[in-house]
Amino acid sequence: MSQKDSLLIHIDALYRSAIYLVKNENNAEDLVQEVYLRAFKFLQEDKEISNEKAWLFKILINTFINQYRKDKREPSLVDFDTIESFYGSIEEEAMVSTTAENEVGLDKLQDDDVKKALEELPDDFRMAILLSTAEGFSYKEISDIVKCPIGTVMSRIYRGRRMLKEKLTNYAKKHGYERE
Amino acid sequence: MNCNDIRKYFYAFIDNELDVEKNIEILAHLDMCYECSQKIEEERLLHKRVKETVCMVKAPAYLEHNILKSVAKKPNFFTLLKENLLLKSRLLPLTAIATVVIIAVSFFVIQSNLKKNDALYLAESEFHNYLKENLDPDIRSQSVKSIVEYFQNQTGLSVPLPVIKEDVQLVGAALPRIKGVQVPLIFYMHDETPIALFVVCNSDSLPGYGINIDFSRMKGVSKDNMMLYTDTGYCGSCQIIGWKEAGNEYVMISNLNSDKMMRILTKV
Ligand SMILES: [Zn+2]
Ligand SMILES: [Zn+2]
Repeated sequence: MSQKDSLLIHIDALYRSAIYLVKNENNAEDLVQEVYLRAFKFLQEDKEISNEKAWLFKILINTFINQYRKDKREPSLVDFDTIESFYGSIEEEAMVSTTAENEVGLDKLQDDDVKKALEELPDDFRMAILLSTAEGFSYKEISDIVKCPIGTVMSRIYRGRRMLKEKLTNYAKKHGYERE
Repeated sequence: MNCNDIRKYFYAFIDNELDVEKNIEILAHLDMCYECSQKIEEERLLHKRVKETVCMVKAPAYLEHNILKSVAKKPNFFTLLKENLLLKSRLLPLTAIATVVIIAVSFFVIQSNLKKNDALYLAESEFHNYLKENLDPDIRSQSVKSIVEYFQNQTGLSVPLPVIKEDVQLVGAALPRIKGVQVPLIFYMHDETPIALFVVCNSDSLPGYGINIDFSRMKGVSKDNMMLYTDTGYCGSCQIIGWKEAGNEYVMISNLNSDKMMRILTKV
């Protein structure tokens, strides 16, 4: 298998992330195409690539931020340099969330609910969830892909999943009422 | 640790990011705490659900095909030229990237309804085409004789090539038709940037065919007993230099600055 072929194995993964990032099929195709053009160009220079999937996602995120994201940085975000500083920051939040979501039928959620909730998340949180939950990258890999300290990555994953759960709980409740 | 402390680590636990010690601690708590084990099941379910939903999306089948097609695009003529013709024949040192000089000889094809400097525009636009698109010359040759013969066969007319410095390498010629006008182009290679040289023969020597460039509207500079006329191309970035030599008019178009272009022309 050529190196090009082995990079193309990840086309579905790149595309599904792209579609959640740019939220439209045409742009997602353009974005993925751009990623591969850049990657292939790099191959010509005979450089070593150790983790192909992470490397391609790094190009994806970089291209997305440069070409598609209007506000390059979301000012509300705090950077956590270390894992400890992140855990320090969630001390109080954990105490607050004692709502009983288990009474709500999260299992009854539709695919469209999940899609919509994901799309509504701020870019950085959505990125963190796509990379961790969907693609299974390690926190260290994600920190390298999005060029952020690991504490920040953990914070985005934590807050992103929290927000997602909150949205989905609301949808589930809504469906619950509709059924009654 | 109490339930709240444990729950802070839930996501890292699900993601397998905890060290052994912490992992054991969480597992031990989950064993004895019904509420937390309920909660983590819920998180796991959600995790699975999100993963499944995202991973349902597949790239359209044509995308891979399109990507490969766009990469396999025919390499630019000048890239090919550099790789094959020049390197193999060792016309230039391997390190020198060649520059292209295009000569357009227009005397027999410019139609009478064209304004005087339309010829300039046509030459420049063809110069752009050959550089930006993957256009191949009609004939590849390093011999003046075969290029003169080529134009003779195609048009029945003799095309006099201008006198160019020795380090400018002849590589081929083309006879594209643009807006109904045939523009004979002769390709040269030189330094690192493209140049087009456009030749307008003296209309007196070829009655009925010629057109003169209006040099009077260009800036005149005297150099080595030669009058050079300079201007900026229609694209705004090309430079144009015109001069008269052996009864013909010549126009050189390139991305080089005018000083460099003059050095190519004048024999120092
Ligand atoms: Zn507990
Ligand atoms: Zn131009």
